[in-house]
Amino acid sequence: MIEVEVRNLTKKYDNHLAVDDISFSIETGKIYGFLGPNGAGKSTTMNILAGCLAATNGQVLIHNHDIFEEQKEAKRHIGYLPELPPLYLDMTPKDFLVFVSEIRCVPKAQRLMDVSKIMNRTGISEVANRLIGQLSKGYRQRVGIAQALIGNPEVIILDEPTVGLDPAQIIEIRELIRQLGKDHTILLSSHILSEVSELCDEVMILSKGKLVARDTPEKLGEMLGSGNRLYMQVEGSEAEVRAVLQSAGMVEKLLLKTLDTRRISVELEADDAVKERIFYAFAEAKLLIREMRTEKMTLEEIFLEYTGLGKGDTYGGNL
Amino acid sequence: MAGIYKKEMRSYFRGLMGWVFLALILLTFGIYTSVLCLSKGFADFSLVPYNAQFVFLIAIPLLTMRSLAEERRQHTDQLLYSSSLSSAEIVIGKYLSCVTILALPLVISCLYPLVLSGHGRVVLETTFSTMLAFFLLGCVLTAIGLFFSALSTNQFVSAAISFCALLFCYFANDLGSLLSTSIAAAFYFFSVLAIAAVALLRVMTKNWLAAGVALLILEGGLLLIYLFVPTILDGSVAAAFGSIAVFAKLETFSNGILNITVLLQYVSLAWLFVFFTIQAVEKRRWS
Repeated sequence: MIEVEVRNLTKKYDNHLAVDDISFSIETGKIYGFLGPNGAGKSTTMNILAGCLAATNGQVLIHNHDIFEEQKEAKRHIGYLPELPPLYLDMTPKDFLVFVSEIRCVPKAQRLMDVSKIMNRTGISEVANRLIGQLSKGYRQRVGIAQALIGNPEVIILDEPTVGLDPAQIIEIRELIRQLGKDHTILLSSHILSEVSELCDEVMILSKGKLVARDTPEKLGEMLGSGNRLYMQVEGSEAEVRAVLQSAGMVEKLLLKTLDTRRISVELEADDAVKERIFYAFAEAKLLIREMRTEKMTLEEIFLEYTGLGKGDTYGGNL
Repeated sequence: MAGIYKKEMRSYFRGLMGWVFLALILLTFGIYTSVLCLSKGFADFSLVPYNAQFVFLIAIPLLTMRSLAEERRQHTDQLLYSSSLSSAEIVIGKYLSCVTILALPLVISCLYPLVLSGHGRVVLETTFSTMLAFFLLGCVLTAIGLFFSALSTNQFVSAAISFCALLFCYFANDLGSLLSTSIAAAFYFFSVLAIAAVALLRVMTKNWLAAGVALLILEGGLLLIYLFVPTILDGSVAAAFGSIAVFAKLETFSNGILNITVLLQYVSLAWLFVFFTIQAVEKRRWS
């Protein structure tokens, strides 16, 4: 079933085109990811889907209800966590969630039960009666996610849900999102490639307000290569090094540079298996490896590669 | 709407602001009651609210400054916008909570004349009609404060602008009397006002055509009035300032007149500014 349908969505701020004629649909039971740099239009699109912002043009249907024409009906099916969790710091999580239930028109008799269920699910029961202002960022994010779950909406929109959290909190929140994905359709945004590929069933890449790609993370990954880059410094002549690499089957996307008479720098794309093969090949040829390190391709490199922008091109927004 | 109202009420009294507001109004009323009624022995309690009206200049901006500005600063407005609430429900919920807090100290103060009447004759009719007008005056000023709170993200900026606006209302009669009463002066005054209104229209709609048409209609109309029925402009500047001078209108009540026109003016002004506030929220939400 199609939960959300976006048709030719455009949003213009004065002279700046934030979202440029985007169309896509979201189906039940999947986790979708918006991937793109800051300023790509992720938050604007999400704000429009959640009914917080008007579009300049286009249509958004949520469960077949137009978000601009039938706001109340459409919003019933959407839970939204903006980039900065909208929390009242002088309230306790419990009071806050009861308040959200009230403004989301959850029937009075159901409110307390719903809130305690959601608090259990998001792991905030133990801090239910502490002020939100005194909670850690991780807990605040959980309260933010909890408020998006109030009213049991089918679609949950999470704008950069892990930004600003420490690594342990990021893992916890990702696990929570994975759990929620079992009962809800989720649309999340991120500028972290690994996060999107780890969590999402489908990824949509946004660039300068346009939807430039949509596919499963595996397929996008295949298109983009492994994403790992191997840097080496080897003692030997360029011809010797090239011969060894060829014997290991590495000829494509190879970058060799002579540093001095007997030292060559090598740069190529490689995963762990290739790395091992190269290591043994050099050992067999008795060429000394001075340095060998792998670096994950940054999103910037992958993104630039994908969107076909050169490194020298000006790009609106950092990655 | 009830949800917003309850949340606001709790937030006012969980923090300092509700208590500070209550204390300010009660203190001012207490001082004037003891000075005018107890020390000087005036039997007319309506003098107390009449003299205490200046307290609104400080108390109302304090009451309304956080209301919408803080929601925007903390980004909690997105929570409200993504809920089932309309902009009108959000604004009215907040406005009613402010008005309730305004009513609390006034209800308490209404006990004073009742206590005093046990010790002598107090004109209760005048007293309570003045208290009612005082409350409605507070409602108007609260609506003005709320409107400025909707325009800013910084609560202190919103408080400062509200204070200036209230101060202008407070001295509007005096300011009006300083201006020339001639018909030509009135024409120039309203021309400038029309240009300012059109400039505002241009800023808000970003539409030159609409602004141009509005300017033509306003200035053309004014010119026609000036040329053919100039008597309409006679004393109109003072009247314009008089209509802004909401504080001064309280005087008729303490003179013992239940002025229904003024009460209606207060109610309409309060409604007008609540409406403006809803429009300001709506504009921000959809632009």
